[in-house]
Amino acid sequence: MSLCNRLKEARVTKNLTQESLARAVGVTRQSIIAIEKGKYVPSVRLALELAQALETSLEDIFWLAGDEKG
Amino acid sequence: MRMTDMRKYYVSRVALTAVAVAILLLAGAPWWMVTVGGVLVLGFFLLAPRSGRYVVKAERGSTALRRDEWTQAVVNKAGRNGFVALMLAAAGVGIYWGSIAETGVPAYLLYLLVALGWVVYFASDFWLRRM
Repeated sequence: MSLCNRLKEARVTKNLTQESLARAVGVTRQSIIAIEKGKYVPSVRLALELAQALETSLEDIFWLAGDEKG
Repeated sequence: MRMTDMRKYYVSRVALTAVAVAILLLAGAPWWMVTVGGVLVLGFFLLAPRSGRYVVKAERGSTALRRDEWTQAVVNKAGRNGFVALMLAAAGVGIYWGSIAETGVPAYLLYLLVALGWVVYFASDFWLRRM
């Protein structure tokens, strides 16, 4: 099963740019782009840091393909 | 990244550039080589935070430029691809010159093998970073 995400939607909801989110979690902007496009599966640590920076839960941003997501 | 952190980073990079220039001067390098070396080192440090390849962690002092997990993963994959290409080419050369050809392996071929490994590394790096 592949990992899906709605990182971009969560980031836009918070009015954050890719650059500001990248700075908040200590990665490059390219890493945020790669994750948003599904080209890179982040580590659990980075996924948790992203969820924390976006003030949401991990499950709201990442889920496995096949799981229902509203 | 706060501005004070970036200021700390730039100050430390200027200091490192000065050390590199001093080493070149002590080694007896001509003035133009010292100038070019200093510009290249300082240019790298100025461009690196904007390159998308490194993040700046100013609190780490002289090792402030770090790869994050994605850029490290890209480098690892590119390195693996380069190494595999090098080994496959070396195996091919070994088989051909070990059992078919009647002459020894030309010396230039060994340089070509290493060059092939680097070309595959850089091509993989470029390909994996495309968006």
